[in-house]
Amino acid sequence: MIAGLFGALLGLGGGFILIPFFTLVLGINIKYAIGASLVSVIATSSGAAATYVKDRMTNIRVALFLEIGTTLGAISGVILAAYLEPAALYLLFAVFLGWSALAMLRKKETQGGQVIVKPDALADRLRLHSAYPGGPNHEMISYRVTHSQLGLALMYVAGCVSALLGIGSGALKVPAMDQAMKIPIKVSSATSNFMIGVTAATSAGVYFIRGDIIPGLAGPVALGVLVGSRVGSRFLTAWSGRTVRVIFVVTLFIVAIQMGVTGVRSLLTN
Amino acid sequence: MSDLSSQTELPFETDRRIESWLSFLLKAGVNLSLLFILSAFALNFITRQTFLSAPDLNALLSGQNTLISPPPREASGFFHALLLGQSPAFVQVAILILIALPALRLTLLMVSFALKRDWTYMAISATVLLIMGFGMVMRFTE
Repeated sequence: MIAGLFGALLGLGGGFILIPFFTLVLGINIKYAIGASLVSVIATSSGAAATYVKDRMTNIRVALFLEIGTTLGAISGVILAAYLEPAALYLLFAVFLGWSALAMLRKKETQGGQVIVKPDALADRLRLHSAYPGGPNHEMISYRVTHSQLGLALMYVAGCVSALLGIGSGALKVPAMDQAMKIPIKVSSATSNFMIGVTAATSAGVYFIRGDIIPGLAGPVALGVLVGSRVGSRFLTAWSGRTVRVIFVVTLFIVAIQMGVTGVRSLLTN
Repeated sequence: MSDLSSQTELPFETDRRIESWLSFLLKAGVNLSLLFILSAFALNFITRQTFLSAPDLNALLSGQNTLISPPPREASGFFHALLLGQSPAFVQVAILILIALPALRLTLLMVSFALKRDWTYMAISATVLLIMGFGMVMRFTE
């Protein structure tokens, strides 16, 4: 339930909570832990998206456009897994996430009024600009999307890293949308949440067919996450952008530390 | 109130119908999945079943990578378990619904954009769906 709550609120998968809990606390084999975690990602994604899409928090055009990058990245990640050293990648992304967290912390939230961003011909052509209920009384605030090509490239990297390391799907997507594409934090979070279901469903399908999704483990997880994501999605709409940002940054630091520790451990064992 | 002078350019009004279909699909899928999970818990309570046998629970908690009675992988075994009212099979249906939802929502978006004659987004939705299918086939044949 906690994983679903955080997942829905922050646009993350919730794997950063579930996988360490299953493997370190309960001593469950990693493949079953990943199987259950993938179910939690899809449940969070669809559970919260039903609310976010209705509330106009999700930008479906941005999501669809960026999903080209994440899905292609995921395929590349599977191919690259045979050639890359995961320890170095863990450390690299621990540093990258730490830096993203700092950059996100420094960014100021704008209340009302459009943020002036660099014109982007592709974003204009694809009509990525939109509006969301971000005002103090949930009135619609319009926003413009920029650096769409850079965003697509970053999503490719995010998809690649998710497939290589098994975590970090939302942790990379939200900063990419927030920092590079200048999309408001609440929209970035809701849109990331919407997107993570696609790549997770691809992996979950494979885990399901292989028999690595154990109903006894995934069932209670799905139930908790579906309930948690409903609660979390209410918070995102109600809370201010600043609050969501602070919670996200703290979580990002935790994920960065987790990745750093895993990286150091893999280096020491090799 | 913020500047909405460029409202005609923004898709958030024109996409409203698509968004309501999408929201309906996701809500229906999630609720159906929830129904199956809750039915599985109810079955456990009424028929005194458990999701995992005691030896399998021990195997799982001791970090083993194989179970004595893993979930059925063939369709026939799965349907048989469902007809017998075995609670793990009900959870599997719920999980299958959740796994299918992202592909279903991409299909819905593809059709919706086609109906709106928005060929660019129809093509983008179809591309993502194709890559997703390709990714699944590729990972399965790994």
